[in-house]
Amino acid sequence: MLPHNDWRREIYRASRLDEFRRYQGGEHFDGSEYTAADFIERLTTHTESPAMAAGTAVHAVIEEAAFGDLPEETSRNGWHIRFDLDAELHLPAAREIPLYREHKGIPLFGRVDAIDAVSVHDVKTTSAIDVDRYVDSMQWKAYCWMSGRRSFVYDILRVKVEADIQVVTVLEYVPLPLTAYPGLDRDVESLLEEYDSAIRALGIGEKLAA
Amino acid sequence: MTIKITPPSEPIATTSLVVTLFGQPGIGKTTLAFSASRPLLLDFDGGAQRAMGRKDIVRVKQWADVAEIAQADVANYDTIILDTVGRALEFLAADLVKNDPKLARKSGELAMQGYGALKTAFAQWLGRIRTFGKHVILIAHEKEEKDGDTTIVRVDAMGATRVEVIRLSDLVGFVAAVNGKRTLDFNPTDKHTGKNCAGFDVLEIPHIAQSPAYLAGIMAEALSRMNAATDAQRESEAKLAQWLVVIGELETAEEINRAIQTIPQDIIVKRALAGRAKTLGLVWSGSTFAYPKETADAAA
Repeated sequence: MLPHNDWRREIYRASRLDEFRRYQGGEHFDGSEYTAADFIERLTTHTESPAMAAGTAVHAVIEEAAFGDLPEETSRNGWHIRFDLDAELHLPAAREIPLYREHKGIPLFGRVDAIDAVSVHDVKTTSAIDVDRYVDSMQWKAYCWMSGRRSFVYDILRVKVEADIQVVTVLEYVPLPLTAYPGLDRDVESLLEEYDSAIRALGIGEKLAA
Repeated sequence: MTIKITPPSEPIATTSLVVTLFGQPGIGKTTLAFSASRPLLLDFDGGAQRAMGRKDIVRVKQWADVAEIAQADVANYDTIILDTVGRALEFLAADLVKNDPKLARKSGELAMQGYGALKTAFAQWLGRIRTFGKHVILIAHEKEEKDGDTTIVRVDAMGATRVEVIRLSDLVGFVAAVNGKRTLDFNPTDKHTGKNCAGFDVLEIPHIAQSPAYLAGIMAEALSRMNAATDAQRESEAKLAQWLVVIGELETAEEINRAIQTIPQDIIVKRALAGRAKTLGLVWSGSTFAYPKETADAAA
């Protein structure tokens, strides 16, 4: 395991793999060119959009809750949160669990929202549910690979974010269960190797150490 | 309005499947679907007559034709096929708008509220068919989408309802022609989407005339694999519960350190052990847990 202050803990995170695939694809979501400079900036600087901050606040409420009803309205991190839906969210008791695994000496870190003996859960907040994006993502595959679980559930919450008044309203809950497939481990390991090569070629470690 | 957090329910045995088959027109999706166990095809597209190995077909002209489908109507069948699910959703959407015009915009397209109603109505209808103990096969056209330099093939269904098609399916398989052979691939790849609850490798589809029960066999194998996995899950949960009890009964540093050597290398078990050590007032010395004084003495 790497020391707590090692830069690789920040860079070799499961959530970075999907960013890397976008960089490999050469295009941002809006179709503009995704350059190496963009990728380096994404990895080495942290900017949080209002939507991300709102999502973090919703996450915090769920993380802190054990089992039972959530309040209809609550506040967290400066955000007013409304749960405007009737839903039952099935979530294991073990929450915010860090994961770690190495492949050929390449580390990979992650933190799952909840986990039990058979499945990993990750809570997502989004303004519009794009199921293909979740199914295609590397994140769930990496979490299965790291945890040794073969079942994964994205607990997707559709939210409306009103950044100007710091209000986030949770409107819909959609659980998306996924299962590991025969080539999953190989897919994660080969992408991790490509990712490691790119990190080295771009000198990201040296940039962070400088 | 409430949102309630509950523990996941115990895994239960699966008795019927929802399978989505997608691919380009003419690739043989309907022919493949007809090789499922005792199929009844609901023909929304009007194209089922082109398929080989045709079985029973109901031509659907409007959603009302299938809305109230009852168990007795399908008693002689094991599998209900929707051909295509995209067209079925269009019929259902038209039916919903007929009953509540506010669900559509002036242009005729569904409004956001309309998509919500469509998703709910479709999930309820599908749920009812499943309560009959029937398998459901959803046939869908493919849709190519650009993702940077690469093109990925996905299920073509009405807008936001694609969420329900993918979510409710146990298996999502891409039917394609590769090197002159037809294949069925449930695995998600860089080229196409997929969902593979049964852990199938890429399957080569035989000539259906020679293997008229081909998909029936695949679906039976899927059920068998999924239920074996459910048994394995129950076993894992039971083992985990046993370990948590054992860890909860550890009382000394010596017992904790002995347990380090014997516990399974599972994230939950390891965290439970660390939690128990903390409860007992132990600290990690780098290789073992010890009482704070021992750690300080060792350092001195």
